[in-house]
Amino acid sequence: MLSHSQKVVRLYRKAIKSIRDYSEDYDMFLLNAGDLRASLKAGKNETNPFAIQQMVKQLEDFNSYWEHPDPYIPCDGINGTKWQRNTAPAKYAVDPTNHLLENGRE
Amino acid sequence: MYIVNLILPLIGSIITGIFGHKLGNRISIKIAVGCMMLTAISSLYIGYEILLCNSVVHFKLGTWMQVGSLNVEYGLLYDSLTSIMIIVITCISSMVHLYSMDYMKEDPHKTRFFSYLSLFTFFMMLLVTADNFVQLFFGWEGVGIMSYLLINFWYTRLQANKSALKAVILNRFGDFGLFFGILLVFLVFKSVDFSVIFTIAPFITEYTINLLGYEVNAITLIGSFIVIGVVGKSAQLGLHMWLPDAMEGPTPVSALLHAATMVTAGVFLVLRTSPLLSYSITILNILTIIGALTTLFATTIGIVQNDIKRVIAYSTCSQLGYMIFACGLLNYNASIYHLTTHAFFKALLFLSAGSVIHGLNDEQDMRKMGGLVNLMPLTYQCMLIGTLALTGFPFLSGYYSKDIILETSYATYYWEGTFAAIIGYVAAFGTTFYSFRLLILTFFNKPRMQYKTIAGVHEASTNMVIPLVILALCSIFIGYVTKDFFVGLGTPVWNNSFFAYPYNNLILESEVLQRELKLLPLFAFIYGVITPVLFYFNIKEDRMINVKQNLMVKESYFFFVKKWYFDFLSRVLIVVPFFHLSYDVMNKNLDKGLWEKIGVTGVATTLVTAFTALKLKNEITLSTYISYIVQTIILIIVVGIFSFMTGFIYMELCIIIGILYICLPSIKID
Repeated sequence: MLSHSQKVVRLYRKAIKSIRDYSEDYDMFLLNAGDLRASLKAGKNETNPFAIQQMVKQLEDFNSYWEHPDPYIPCDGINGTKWQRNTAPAKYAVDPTNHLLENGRE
Repeated sequence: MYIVNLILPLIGSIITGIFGHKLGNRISIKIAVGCMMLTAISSLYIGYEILLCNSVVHFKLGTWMQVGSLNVEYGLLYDSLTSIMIIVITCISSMVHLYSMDYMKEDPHKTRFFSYLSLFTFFMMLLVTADNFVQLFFGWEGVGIMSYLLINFWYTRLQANKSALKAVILNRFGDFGLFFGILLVFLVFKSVDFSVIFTIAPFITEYTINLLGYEVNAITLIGSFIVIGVVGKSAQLGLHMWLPDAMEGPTPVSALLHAATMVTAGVFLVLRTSPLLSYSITILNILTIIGALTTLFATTIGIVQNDIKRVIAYSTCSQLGYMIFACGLLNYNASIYHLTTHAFFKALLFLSAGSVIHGLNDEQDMRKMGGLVNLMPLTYQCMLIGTLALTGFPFLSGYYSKDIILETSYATYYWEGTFAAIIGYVAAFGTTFYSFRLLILTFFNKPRMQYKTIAGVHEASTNMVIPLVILALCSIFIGYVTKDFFVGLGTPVWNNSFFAYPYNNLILESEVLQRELKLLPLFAFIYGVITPVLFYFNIKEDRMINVKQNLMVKESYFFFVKKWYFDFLSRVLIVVPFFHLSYDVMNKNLDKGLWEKIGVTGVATTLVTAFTALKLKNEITLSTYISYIVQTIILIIVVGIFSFMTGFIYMELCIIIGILYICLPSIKID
């Protein structure tokens, strides 16, 4: 179960990533990310639970609307273009005696 | 000379592949590159002999198989079409080999890579030099399987495995088409030799085959199967999904296979079989429409792609569409002309993209590039030349080849030609748009990559730069130099290489088109340059505007990014139902299920289940056992008496009833 702050932080990070995926210009990314941050900062001191719920809902809607169909994946990241490229083989595949020594079990 | 030209790549491949670990990386790779260079030089000499000295060479090497009336011989046919193809293949291949020496330097399996590259070149040469359909099919399958191996070169990558399988399975549809085409050719012509088939073809234009009660023209039927092969191999609309995914392979592979040579095998097949296909108007119209739609489709997708290699891959798809619809309009020499120029500038574009990717530590997403113009000036210049050649900038190679296709398409004066021409003009604009978008996103604006990436950006090394420069020079000059050679009025080069309709005056007709129409490609180029420049340099004040202003723009963007939902539709309509049919229905219930239900396994399982159910429980008392024994004895006596009275006719029935009588009370029902 996530705390409220964890939930908001995750939504914020996702929103930032969506904006990054759409931004083909770095200045535009900064402007849009700044807009998003300002809108979140504006509700920082809100105490009314209904208003907070409303704001979280807005952020969720933003994320679902702006989700990019072809998101950016870092080349070293999972499913990136370099992911799993020339991964080292398992030890026993190279040296058949190794798997007997590894952690004392086969 | 001719045989050496053919087998040198095979020798290079064998030495690198089998003896690579004995000779060491450096030596074996140098041998492979040397073999490829020699092949390229000998191809140029062969080109001189055949194209300039006009001496076609055709010889037989021996009998392959002789079964009844089927007589297949090893034969090599070096005519104008073949010599152009081998020049393109070997020149690009030698450039790619040289480039790969440095590009794949860090890879632990580079000898295997060079072995595959050389073997692919050998199969491709086998394909283009074949003098009969069976030999051509052998080369065709060979390049298909080498494509699989090269896409799957980094076989530890799951994505590469998937892409390679996708490529080979989609190509299998095309292979199936070509295979059926060859069978039908043998059925109709009783021969698989090109010379025999093309000689007889004009005399059997009315010949029909009875297909499910319908009389179908034989040439149309053969042609329709060959078109399936062409669509599969040349990534035309319907079976195109493998080409963008094939970018999983290393960049030199993309440059060699998926831009310059392998995908042109489909176009080559159309050209080679043109003396047959040209007698069927239906097939020509199908080729025109498929080619035109592919051009439009690939262009629209290329505009919104973010992966640098995928943009160029869709560009390839689009240009192949141009070649195919030019063939459909009986404009074969324009098609081979565009094939040749396209091979050079597309290889240049791919290799330049590879240089960028190499410099950026394998980053391929254009959203994380930018500002490289001062850091990689030579690569930028090569990329610019390639882009200008592709987009038809005046007096570069693409300008001549693309213009001639568009003009002659319009000059056909029937609706398929006009349809293809209009799409061609629109696609020319789209091509310029996405090419300059690529250029701007990669080399201009502010850098968007990480600091450590930009700190490591470097210009390509010597072995990578030499091919780039050579290909750049070719991209500039080859169109101008060879224009009259390929498409000049009354050019004597082609002879009987492909079908020449005696009343085909397309080139002449295109000369008298309206002046405005002749300027259209130029306008398409200018607008194609201006639009992305305005789009990417002048809208910084508007926030999120360049993505989607409203739902319609958003949905259109999604539609194009999702590739017209072709992958989704093919998965939902074909892959999932067939998987369900083959696994859940056939495999589970028939293949495996028959054994499990009525076979040995089934009997064993049934007996075990039955006797487990019949097992007497421990809590049954001694008196129960005694009662069972007594009941059994009584039953045996009764059954015996009853059987004796009925003459042992119903004995089996009595035994079964008796067993059930004993067992039923002990069956535990959960």
